Amino acid sequence: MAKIDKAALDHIAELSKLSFTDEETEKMIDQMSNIITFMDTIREIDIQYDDAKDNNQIAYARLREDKAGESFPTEKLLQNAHTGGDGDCYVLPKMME
Amino acid sequence: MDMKKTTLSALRKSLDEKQISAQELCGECYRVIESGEENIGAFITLTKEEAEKAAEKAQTRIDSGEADFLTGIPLAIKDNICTDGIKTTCASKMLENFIPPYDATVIEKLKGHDYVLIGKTNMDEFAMGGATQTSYFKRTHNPVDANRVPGGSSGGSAAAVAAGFVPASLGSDTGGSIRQPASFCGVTGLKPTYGRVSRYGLVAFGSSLDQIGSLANTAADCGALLNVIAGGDERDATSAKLPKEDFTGKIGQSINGMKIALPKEFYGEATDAEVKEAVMKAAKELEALGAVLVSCEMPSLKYGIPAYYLIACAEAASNLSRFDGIKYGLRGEGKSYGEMILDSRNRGFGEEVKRRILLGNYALSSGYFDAYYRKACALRQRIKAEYEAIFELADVILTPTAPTVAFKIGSDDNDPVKMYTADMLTVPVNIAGLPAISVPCGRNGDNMPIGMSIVGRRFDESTLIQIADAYEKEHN
Repeated sequence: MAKIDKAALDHIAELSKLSFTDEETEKMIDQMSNIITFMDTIREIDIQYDDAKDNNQIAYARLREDKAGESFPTEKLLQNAHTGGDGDCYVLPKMME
Repeated sequence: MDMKKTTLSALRKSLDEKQISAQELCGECYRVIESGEENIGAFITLTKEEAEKAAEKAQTRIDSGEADFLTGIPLAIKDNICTDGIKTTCASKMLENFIPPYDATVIEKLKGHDYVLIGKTNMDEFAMGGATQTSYFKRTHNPVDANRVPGGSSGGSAAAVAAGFVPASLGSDTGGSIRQPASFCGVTGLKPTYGRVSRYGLVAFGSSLDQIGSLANTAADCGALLNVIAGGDERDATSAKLPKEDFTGKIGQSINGMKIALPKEFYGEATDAEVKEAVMKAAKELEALGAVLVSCEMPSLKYGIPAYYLIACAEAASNLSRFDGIKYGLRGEGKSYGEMILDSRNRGFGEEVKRRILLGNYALSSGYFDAYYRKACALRQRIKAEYEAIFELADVILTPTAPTVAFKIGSDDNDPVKMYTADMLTVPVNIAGLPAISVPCGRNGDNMPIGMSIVGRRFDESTLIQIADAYEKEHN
């Protein structure tokens, strides 16, 4: 039985901000099912994650001082943006009517 | 000048002694590229105009007697490392026209030496692949046999060195992306310890795994490049603030008595007989130099691939959520904000990238998090512990870099699982954050290069370079 059905794929596609045509969906269900079946090999080992061992390695005492630095020039930051010819702002489709 | 046989120190000497100028050296690189690039496809962007200016500036510095190690040295850079004013595409349609507004820390360091950037190299899209076949722009071919892949994801960087286009290059390694292409193309590739090199300006794939490293003709050159790019960086909180070190400092010291572990699982059925034979022959050569071979086990190796892919894809799903077409990258169409983002991502990402984002979000989603992501993190702890146990017995570990030599182009295109399992021998090193170097150790019956990996303790790159250099000198 496939590990992933259409509803499951639609759900993770929504989480991923992706969408697929019917033809792509069929292919993706097949491939993702194979991939997840392979990932399932980790289910055979009985092992628990130890929170105490990890996530304690960031040296917070050595974090840099929180102070204002020089900003990037606006025109450089906007060189890759869609400004709609307006110069210094990002132009987007309407978020609400 | 044959760049395939040239070392960085030999080039440094030639430049300092005025046997060649920086401009002539730069011109020589482009001459070789012009004659061979059509068949190889190592580069996405060539930066000839900028390179000529950089070479002129470098020559002025050489003439003033103030040259640094890389002054006037031509290098190629993987196209996921940000270069101010020069396109950085990650081999993706999403970033086809992206021009970074800043340099990665490693680029700042190279510029401090007045190096010469020859071009940005091809790669798998967002470094997701092991063959440099998922690039939006082109497939890269292996310079040893153009019908075969160069490995990946830093396939362009490895091919550029193997083809003699440049004497060395930078790549990135998340699950073997420097070492495996180095092995496939017959060059040397060094993946430093996680935290050794700043990741600032490296477009993120798996942030707890990614590391920038070097590819070159010798281990000494890889170490010399690491000397320049290593170091703590306040813009990367995961970079290590350690005293400056000369990673080539132990070259020439005897390896007599050094213990080299051979974990039996790396020499199992999945590894080609010819690959095993070549690596075991290399182990015997190291033994003849005085090293002691130690048998050991890594029982969790078989879980390495799923653990790696679950962690890497979960991190990738998060990292790649920034690509929405708003501030940069491909801008899709749509009547609403949501439709525009969806269209940007649908059109901007290739199939493999989409698969990995889906897998990552699946592993992180409600109901699956504990069974997949958290379990993978538990396996990461187990694999780290198994490495630590081996390092109680030995100084370094020796394994094949990849289970096979470079395969034919097109042979694995439609089978993602088969493609993932090809990384089985390289991913454990990234999971544990260790340094490793891939060194050529022979050829198979089809005359394709075979690579071996020497894996060391965290921040012990010097020992890897010492052993790799001893082997190269003995073997060659």
